Amino acid sequence: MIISKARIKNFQSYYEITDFNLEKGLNLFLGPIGAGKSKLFNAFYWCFYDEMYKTDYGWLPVDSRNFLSIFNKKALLEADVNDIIESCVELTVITEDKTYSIKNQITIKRINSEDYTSEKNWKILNNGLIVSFDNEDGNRINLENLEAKNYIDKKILPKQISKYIWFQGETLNELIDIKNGTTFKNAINYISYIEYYENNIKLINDVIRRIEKELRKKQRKNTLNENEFNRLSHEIERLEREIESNQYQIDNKKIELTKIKKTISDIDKRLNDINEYIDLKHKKEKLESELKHVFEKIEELDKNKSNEFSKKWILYGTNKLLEKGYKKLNKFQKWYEENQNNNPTGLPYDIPSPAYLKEMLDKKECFVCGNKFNEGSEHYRIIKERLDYATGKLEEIKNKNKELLSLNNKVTALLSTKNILLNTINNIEEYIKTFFQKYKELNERKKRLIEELKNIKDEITALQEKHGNKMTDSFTNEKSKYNYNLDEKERINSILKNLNNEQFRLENELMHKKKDLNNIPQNTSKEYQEEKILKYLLALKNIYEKTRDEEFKKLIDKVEKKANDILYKITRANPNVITGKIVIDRDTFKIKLVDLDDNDNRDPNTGHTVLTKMCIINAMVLISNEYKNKSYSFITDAPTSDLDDGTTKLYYKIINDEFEQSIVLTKDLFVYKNNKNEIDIDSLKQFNFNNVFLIKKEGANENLTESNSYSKIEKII
Amino acid sequence: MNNILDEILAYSPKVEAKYKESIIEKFSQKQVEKGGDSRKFFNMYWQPFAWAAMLGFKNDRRTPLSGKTDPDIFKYSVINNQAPDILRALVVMAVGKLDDNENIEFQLKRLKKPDEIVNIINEYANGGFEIISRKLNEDPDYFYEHNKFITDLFEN
Amino acid sequence: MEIEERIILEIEKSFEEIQEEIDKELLKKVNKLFIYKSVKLTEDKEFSNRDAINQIENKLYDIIK
Repeated sequence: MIISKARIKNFQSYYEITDFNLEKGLNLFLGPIGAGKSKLFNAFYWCFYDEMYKTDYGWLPVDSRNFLSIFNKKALLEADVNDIIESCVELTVITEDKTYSIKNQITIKRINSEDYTSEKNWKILNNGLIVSFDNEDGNRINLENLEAKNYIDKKILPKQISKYIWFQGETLNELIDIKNGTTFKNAINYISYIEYYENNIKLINDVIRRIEKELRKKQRKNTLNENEFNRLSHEIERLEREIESNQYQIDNKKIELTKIKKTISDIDKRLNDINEYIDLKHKKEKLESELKHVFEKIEELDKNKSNEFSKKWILYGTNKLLEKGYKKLNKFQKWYEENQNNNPTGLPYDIPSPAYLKEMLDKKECFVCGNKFNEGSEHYRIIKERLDYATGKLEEIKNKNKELLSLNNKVTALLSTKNILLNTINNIEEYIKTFFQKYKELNERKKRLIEELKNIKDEITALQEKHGNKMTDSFTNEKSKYNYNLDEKERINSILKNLNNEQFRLENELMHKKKDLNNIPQNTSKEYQEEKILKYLLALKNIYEKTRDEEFKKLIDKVEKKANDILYKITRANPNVITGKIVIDRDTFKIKLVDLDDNDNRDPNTGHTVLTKMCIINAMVLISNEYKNKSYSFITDAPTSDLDDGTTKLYYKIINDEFEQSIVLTKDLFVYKNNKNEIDIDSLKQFNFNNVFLIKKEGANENLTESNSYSKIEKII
Repeated sequence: MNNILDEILAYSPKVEAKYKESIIEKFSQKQVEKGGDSRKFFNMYWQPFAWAAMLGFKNDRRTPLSGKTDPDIFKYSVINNQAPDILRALVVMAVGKLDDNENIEFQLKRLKKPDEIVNIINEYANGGFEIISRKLNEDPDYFYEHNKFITDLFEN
Repeated sequence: MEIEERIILEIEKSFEEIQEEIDKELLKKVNKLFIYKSVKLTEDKEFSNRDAINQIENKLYDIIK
């Protein structure tokens, strides 16, 4: 069977109508976290089985308490009171003889303007599953609801096998726990006739018991020791009843045990996730604090920009002007010095110094010509006149000098700024460059941090979506639940052990009692009809049991071989890293990856484990297809997160080759280029992947919510 | 006092009123402006003035003041407090622009009081404002692209 | 091919190995009887284990005399 067309309307993250065609071979859907891959998977599942997957709960029916989880939030938000919204998924499925249209839909109406996210405020107008096809006579048949479901289960895609061919990566562990042989054993059961053989054996045992009872009735009539016969008869019947009731208890305990094991495994997952969650939250806080710091630094730089500009940067390019100024100041200084040196006192040369003239007046003698003179004489008068003039002039010159000195000081003061100022200016270009470099670096760091923060937030959201309300930070609660369940498991195991021992004892006793009974002589030698019948029944029972046992062995051989075929094809990518073969332990049904010396891989990493599981599951599905002579569309979500790029691609190639149709949804195969996640289209073409789609979110560009953004599917190859 | 850099502190530059309004006030102060940046680039009035003066000097554009002038927008002491190097540079550049046609002694005597220096700076700043005005007319976003007028520093 | 027929074929393969003196044709009939009833048990919700046992028992008395 293949799915050829899909139409999704207002389903979860898909807004309005999304159409696409699917081909035979591999249909690859690529999308980053949160793009809408899991929702696409849900769409397929909901269409066929009318159920939604909720982590830790499994697949749940959609009912009046949770139907809004089907609907696209944007459509819900946009609806006014009395508006009607339809959500539906319609798939066209082609089997060997018919083409089916399978459609599941819910139509609701908004009844008031209150909280659009609450089921209380919407009314379901109608909902249902329809399977349509043309029968042999050419008539169009439409089956609805329960009839449709049964038809799908019987004729199109049996529910039992669905969990092996349609699975999400996270449920891989549930399907096959390679350390827990029971999961593999159960899986084998699903795909083989073994269950039928088991049923036959059970039925024939019941019939044998009935016939034996009839035989005893007849034997009683002809027995030669009635007392003994009756006693043994009663014993046998009592034992048979006890064995039956014991078996009933054993079956119940087994179911209990399975439930507990599942709980343990779930809690284990949650504990891991809680650890991861706590880790992520710490990382987030750290990043947020770093980001805040960077923002502050950027703001500081911005603030400083204006200051730096005005205080420093505008000096750029003023060298020449300053040189000119300093040159002029040097000229001033030189002029001053020259003028000072030529005439120390500054007096004109024809005027002797006042001290000299005063001395002459005191001594009443001319030092030039040697004449003595008196106080009232003409000589005295002339010299006194000269003295007054010189004193006055000196005063004048002193003042002028003071002035010039003051000016020279000013010049000197300005010149003293030269070195520092010119030095500062020389460094400005470098300085501005450094400033902008720092700015650029901070902005790049800001961008990186924002991107990292978004990724972590996405991962946190993914975890929260996975666990819903159960995601708590409460490590201790979970741990104590875990321990309690471990204890319970031990307790029940021990009870089972006792029950099984008891069963063995009872069966043994029964066997002896029957033998004893048959040894009691009869007074006739004719063969009862019952005896003849029993002969055939026992022979048949034998064959049934033998066939079942061999079937098991045969099937495991087949699965092991096929799984190794697949493993070999995939590990061609990494011959130096992954070598070895898959071995299924015939006693415990545990699955191991051993190296070529048959040594057990003591510490398989996650990649190895995942790979082993994938090979086993794919082998099982393929063999099942062979057995039932049917093939089903293989759909998987996020199977390869733990594998490297080469291995992932090879794995997809093998799926492409082995399955008639496969649909893979994955976030792998992106490469980080040009600062964002991009698809490596060349590499995909290299592997001949011819049907590749991209799932992405559209609508808002940032701060995406479920109501402002939606998923879009685009064919890229 | 024996230092122009001290004497000038009490003086204020003079700016044409039209430039005070269209440039200094418009682009200084941290006020929210409708339709523009929520924060203006300059904090204080001396900053656009200093920049205008540098532009005028570097482009050798000296324009005497005319029309209404605003004589008291800030004192040089403010520049000295905030950016002493700028003040020194302005003064030295102004000295370089003293008229070479006059003799040395005469030029030197112009340094007796800061008035001539202040006047020279005023006129070059005025020229600088003219340049900024023209740039703004060509591109009204000149200031909002903060980095643009910074890279213009390297233009000349 | 329906599942019943396929299973019947598988089982009949082992009939060759039977040691006892048993009429193989008769055994085939008995086998068919069981297989059909057994498969019906899994598919038909209305068909109970008791019904199956009763029907088989009655038929057996007819087939094996």
